Amino acid sequence: MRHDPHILSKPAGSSELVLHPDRPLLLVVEGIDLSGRTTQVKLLHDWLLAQHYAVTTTAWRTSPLVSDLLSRARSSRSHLQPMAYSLLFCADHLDRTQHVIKPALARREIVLADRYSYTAFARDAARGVDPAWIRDVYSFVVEPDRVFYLHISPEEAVKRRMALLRKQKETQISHSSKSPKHGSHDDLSKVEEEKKRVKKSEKDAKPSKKQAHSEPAHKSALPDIRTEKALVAPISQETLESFRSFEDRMYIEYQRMQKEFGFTVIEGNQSIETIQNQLRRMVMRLLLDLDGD
Amino acid sequence: MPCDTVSFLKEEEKVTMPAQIHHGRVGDSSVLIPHTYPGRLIAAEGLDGSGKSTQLRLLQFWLQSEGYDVLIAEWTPSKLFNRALKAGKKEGHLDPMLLSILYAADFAELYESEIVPALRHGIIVLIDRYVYTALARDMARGVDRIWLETIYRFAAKPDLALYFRINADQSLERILRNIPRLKYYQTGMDLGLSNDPIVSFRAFQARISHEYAQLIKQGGLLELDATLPIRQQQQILRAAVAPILPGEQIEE
Repeated sequence: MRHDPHILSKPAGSSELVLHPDRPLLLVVEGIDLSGRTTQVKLLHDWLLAQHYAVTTTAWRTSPLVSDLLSRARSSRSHLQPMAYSLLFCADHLDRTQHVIKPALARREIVLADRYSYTAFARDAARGVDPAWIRDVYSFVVEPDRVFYLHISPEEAVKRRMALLRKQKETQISHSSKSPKHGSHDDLSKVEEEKKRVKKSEKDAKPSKKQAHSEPAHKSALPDIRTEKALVAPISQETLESFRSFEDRMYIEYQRMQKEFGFTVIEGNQSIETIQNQLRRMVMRLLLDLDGD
Repeated sequence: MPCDTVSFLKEEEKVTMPAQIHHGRVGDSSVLIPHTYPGRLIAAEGLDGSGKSTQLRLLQFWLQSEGYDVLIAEWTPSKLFNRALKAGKKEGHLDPMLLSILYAADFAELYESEIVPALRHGIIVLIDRYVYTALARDMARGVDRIWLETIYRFAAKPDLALYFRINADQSLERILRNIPRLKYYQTGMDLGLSNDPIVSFRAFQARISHEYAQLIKQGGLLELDATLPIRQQQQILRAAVAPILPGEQIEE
């Protein structure tokens, strides 16, 4: 998701003040699949905008160059090798570093990143790529000011995935035309908690489906959930096992990196609202500390 | 030219004997780690039109006649990679570093899917362009050398790496004879050296040639005069390959 800074700086039909942090601020939200990252980043983004802060959000695999390439690679029958994938994801990060992150920081904006190099480190380690090598390859990255790690257990990830697939199945069967449009995120209290969970799951589902298919290590074990038809297929034990085993490995890597990179841990098994409030408090503190300098 | 042959043989001793001793120094092309696969890896490097592909094919015939399993692999941009180039060009995003990492992804795919499995099976792999191509070409684009060496650290050190030496003018002359249409990145047009593809190609090849020269200085690449008659080059090549063949004890 890219936001034109000029549009941000001059909201249509208003002459409202746009706030900049005293120095550029790069905030990262990390976590395993279905931990609720994307939802939280979106809420944080909207909140910062509402506070009149200049903010840019950048998400994993959104470089136009590489996202197209990776979807083509996925749609072709021949899956790419682990290191080739690893380097393509790195190209995505490099492209966004040069064309989104660095320019936004240069404009003194708050940059929110939905996943960062740590996702690559976790995935590559889980697929057997040399951790020292991949860290060296990513030596070009901008060091974040803070990494928020949304911690959920692999069991919770599996639970959420099952709920998600069940929900998709129901949607398919009823041919429901309900579109999961989001209301104002600033009005959290009005929205029913359970509904949000489902919506959140749907939002998170898209990237996680794609990612699952970009994992050559267990490609054979995964069903074809790209197609509509496959979405309504029953969840096989094998699929779940494969998902669980990959999530387990990712989880171990995240736990390891928590110490290595000094992540700020947030318990992801709380309500969206609680998590968001924690995030906002911490971000506010960061902004105030900077303002007070 | 017997003189070339003599200097070549001296080089050969240097390269095949102590190359493994000094690996791991940052900024040295010998950071590539020797492999332990039963197969053998022979890399051919050189400017476009240096005749390395012809020499590899002749070498393949010879090795097969000696009873070896041989695979010729060529590092040419894959379909996927060409799509990325197209997309990147459209977006205007393709600076040298990004280009370089896409090349690396392309190479990693070839390396993992073809080269390593063949080496594992004890096959002699003749690779037309290897890591040195990337180092020379990307350094010619101004990409940081240490970062490049880091990226390509996954690639095994070849048992023998040859550099088929021709100069930029010879390269241009030979390439124009064969392929009349030059490609955007092949000619280094992205560097803005010249608006004329031919002038740009020549300037870019000269830069690459300079980078190869640096790599040769650091050892690891065996230089071969690619202006010699084809037959003579092939004789030199076979003499260099013989000592590294599996199960062969060539008496000097």
